[in-house]
Amino acid sequence: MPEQQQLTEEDLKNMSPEQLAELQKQNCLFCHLGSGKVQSKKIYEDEICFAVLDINPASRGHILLMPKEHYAILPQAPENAVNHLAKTAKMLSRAAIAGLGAEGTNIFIASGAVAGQKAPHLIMHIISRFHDDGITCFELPENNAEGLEEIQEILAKELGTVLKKTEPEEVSLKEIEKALK
Amino acid sequence: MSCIECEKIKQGKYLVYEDSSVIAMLSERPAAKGHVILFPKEHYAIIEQMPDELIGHMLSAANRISAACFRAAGAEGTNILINNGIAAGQKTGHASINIIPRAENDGLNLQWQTATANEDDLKTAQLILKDELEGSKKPEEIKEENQEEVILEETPEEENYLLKQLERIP
Repeated sequence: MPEQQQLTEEDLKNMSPEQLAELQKQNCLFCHLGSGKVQSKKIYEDEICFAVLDINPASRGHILLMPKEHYAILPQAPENAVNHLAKTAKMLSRAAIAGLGAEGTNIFIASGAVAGQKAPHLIMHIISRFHDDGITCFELPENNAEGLEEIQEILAKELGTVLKKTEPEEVSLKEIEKALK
Repeated sequence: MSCIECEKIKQGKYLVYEDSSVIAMLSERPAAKGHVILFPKEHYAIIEQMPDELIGHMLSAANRISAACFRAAGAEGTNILINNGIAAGQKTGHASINIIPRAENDGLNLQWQTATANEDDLKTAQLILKDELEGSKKPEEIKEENQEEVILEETPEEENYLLKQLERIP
């Protein structure tokens, strides 16, 4: 990685958001994998994204798919990049099944440290799965639900979803007209 | 074909998001509070069967739901997870994407065990996958006019934990 000059806290405070973003990029190992500055087991590349094999894999055929552009978390990525990543993930998953004999794949994205994100660069994991491979972490626990109506209302509102109230069955206008005749 | 999920989609119980091709509902057996499951309305068993446009749209919708979890539901992180195939933990015959809001000490552990890969194994897998991908049809190039606003721009900065994190230097 290129040598960084020592920056003081004062320097950082005075930097514009663009300068800070640039600094993050310069310090991001995964950006260097994308550009080829740092060696990796690259398996795929196009204009928008690239994929490498994880050197500390969960299983044989653990693929890391990343955008070339530096986004720290998924919500930062523009819609076209997200779309493209999904299509590419599908292609990679299919290749793992066809080429490596994977019997399934887990496609996993962590946003934020509490979600298990380890790298400062958006990564989509495509993990090849085999029967009896001993991986159990993706078996989601099934807890009893509490306050579903409340959460539903909050998320639906935020997503602009209009919730239909459960009302008695609607009578169509035609039926009303018929009844009035 | 009778599919439990297709029935659930028709009912739309605990719906949080819906458009012409996808529907998202709260899980009634959540991995964490606010666990959302996003389904394609049309029946597909695994993602490889889905058209490219649909899987692209699905992840965009999942991202929007994840952003809503940050903004409105107090999530400090989110996981997006597809269990694709029985060996990967898929439980039903209908493809889906899990969006799981995360919080500190929520008791959920989605972390796998890692091993250091053998160099030869890695190289072999690399060769096989490269070969396989060379024969694959690449996702279509993105059209400029399809670009939409970055979701994060709508986010009020002072309320977002992750944004605060992002302002820090790695």
